[in-house]
Amino acid sequence: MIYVFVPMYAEAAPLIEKLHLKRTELFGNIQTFSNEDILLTICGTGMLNAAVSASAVLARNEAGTQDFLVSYGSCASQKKKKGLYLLHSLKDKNTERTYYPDILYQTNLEEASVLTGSGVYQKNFSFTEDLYDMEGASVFHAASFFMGPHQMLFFRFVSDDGEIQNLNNEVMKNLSAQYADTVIEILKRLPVSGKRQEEVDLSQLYPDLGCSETMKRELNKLIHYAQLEKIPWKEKITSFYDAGILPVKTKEEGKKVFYELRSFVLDE
Amino acid sequence: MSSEALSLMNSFSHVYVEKNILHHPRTERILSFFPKAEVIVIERYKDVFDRSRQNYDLQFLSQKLILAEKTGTFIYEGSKACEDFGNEWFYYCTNALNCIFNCEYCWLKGMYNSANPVIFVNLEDFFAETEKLLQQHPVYLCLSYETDLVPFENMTGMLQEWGEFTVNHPDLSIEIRTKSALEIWDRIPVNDRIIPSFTLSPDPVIERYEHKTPSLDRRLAAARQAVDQGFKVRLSFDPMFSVSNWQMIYAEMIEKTMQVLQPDNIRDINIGTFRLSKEYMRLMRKRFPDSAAVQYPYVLKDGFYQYPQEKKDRMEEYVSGVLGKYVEKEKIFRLEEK
Repeated sequence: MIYVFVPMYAEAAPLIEKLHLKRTELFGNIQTFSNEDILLTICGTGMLNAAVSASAVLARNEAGTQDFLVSYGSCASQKKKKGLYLLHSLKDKNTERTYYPDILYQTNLEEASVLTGSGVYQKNFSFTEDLYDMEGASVFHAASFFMGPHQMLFFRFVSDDGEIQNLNNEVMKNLSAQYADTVIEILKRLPVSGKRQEEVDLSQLYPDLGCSETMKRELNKLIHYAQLEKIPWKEKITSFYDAGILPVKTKEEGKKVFYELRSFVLDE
Repeated sequence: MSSEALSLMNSFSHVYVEKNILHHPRTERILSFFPKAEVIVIERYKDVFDRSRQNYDLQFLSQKLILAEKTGTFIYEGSKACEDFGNEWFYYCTNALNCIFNCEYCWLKGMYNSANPVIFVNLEDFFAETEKLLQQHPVYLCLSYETDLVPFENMTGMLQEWGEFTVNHPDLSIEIRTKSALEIWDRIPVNDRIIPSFTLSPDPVIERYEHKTPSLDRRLAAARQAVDQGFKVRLSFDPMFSVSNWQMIYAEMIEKTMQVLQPDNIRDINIGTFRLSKEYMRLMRKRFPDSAAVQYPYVLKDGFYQYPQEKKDRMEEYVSGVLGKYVEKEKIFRLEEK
């Protein structure tokens, strides 16, 4: 699942429309929209709202190693021209802690740093980062309880340089619409995790081999290793059955057969 | 969601640099090797290196470089799990952490949270600490311990500097251990106290477990370059793995090695089967569930997971026996025998 967090509905609207996301049942006061692959949350403006929404949604959906988080929204800047940026560092203005998402994928977007503050950016305030927003660092902090830095991408578009008199919902929606296609293209191309080696079901073998709990654990490890090394352990087991060695009649017999199997797999 | 997946960035597309060493000459030298890299200024390297929940495998596919200043301890006492070659004052230092090679069994994967390499640029502080130690006694110092420094040499020049430092300090011996095929040995001063050390494995082991490392032939070519410069080289057949036909493939590797290098050019050899501390193994088995190198059902002995004693002895004695046809027994070191 890709969890998308956007502070305001006006910023999210182009994504919701273009991705045909459907409004889902209200979760507390948190608005979410989804399709099969994406769950978009209107996380609210400000650090607290964003952190609360992110942690609630990620916890409720048991987000984990297979998932991605995308944070998208507007920001202010006096350094960077209007455009869409991929964030490589996010500094919390209050704690001065900086967070670093892994930059692993080619997005062809210009990168930037952001300072996340609790209040709206005032023009007379100077800072060294490229951008200023009100959610980024707090979303990272909340998400890091559930995900690694390789699972998070932060996108910001510059909406203003501190002059916000003309910045209404309509303007914000139109601005966001300019970048929505780029973000959607990236969302669609986020890599799905590779399949792991399938677990082998040994439930029939345990009783046939007279396994104790300790032997079960040892057998699991042995067969897992044999699978990884492509050692034909199944053929060996079949030969035990064909020869009438399995199922065993006593635990002693079971141990003997287990050690024969072990010798076969480990070439001992 | 059927579009082609995003491509990964090239390795070293990004370089994280600690703010306090941004203008260090060695930082500038290293950054000049990556003119297109995005340079991200950071406060402390641990802010990037020690993040929680990092994905080791994925990071290895697109490694980022971290440049930092080493503080605290510079020189450490050598581990009992490593061969000291009879040196009483066995130490190692960490000019860098991690490496560009991706060996499945590497203990660094149990030690660190990140696959990104860190290079400490303040070499002068390592030299100062080494000089302090040399005032007390001779020092045998392993440089490539929590890293492989050779692949970084073109960008750092650190080994050349260590070489020159060693020549000027008669009580210092250094070992430079590597799996790299980079031919740097014409830049290192030839000296009996500078020991190029090549970790060699048979190609089937390299292909299976030592990802992104050079083939045996390429490693031997680099070792040959060191020999041609006048170095006597150390060979390390460690760790050895019990792969199928291990007797044959290890014997073939030794024969090829001796043909290329000639026994007289070999200073000494250490051999050892794979072993890993309990703590690192626990983490690595969790992190790398599909790695046969760590999922083998090793036995736990004296705090280290290893092959059962009988198998370990059989492998090490066999390889020792094959080597004994080429070099004197005194030149062959086996950790267990100490």
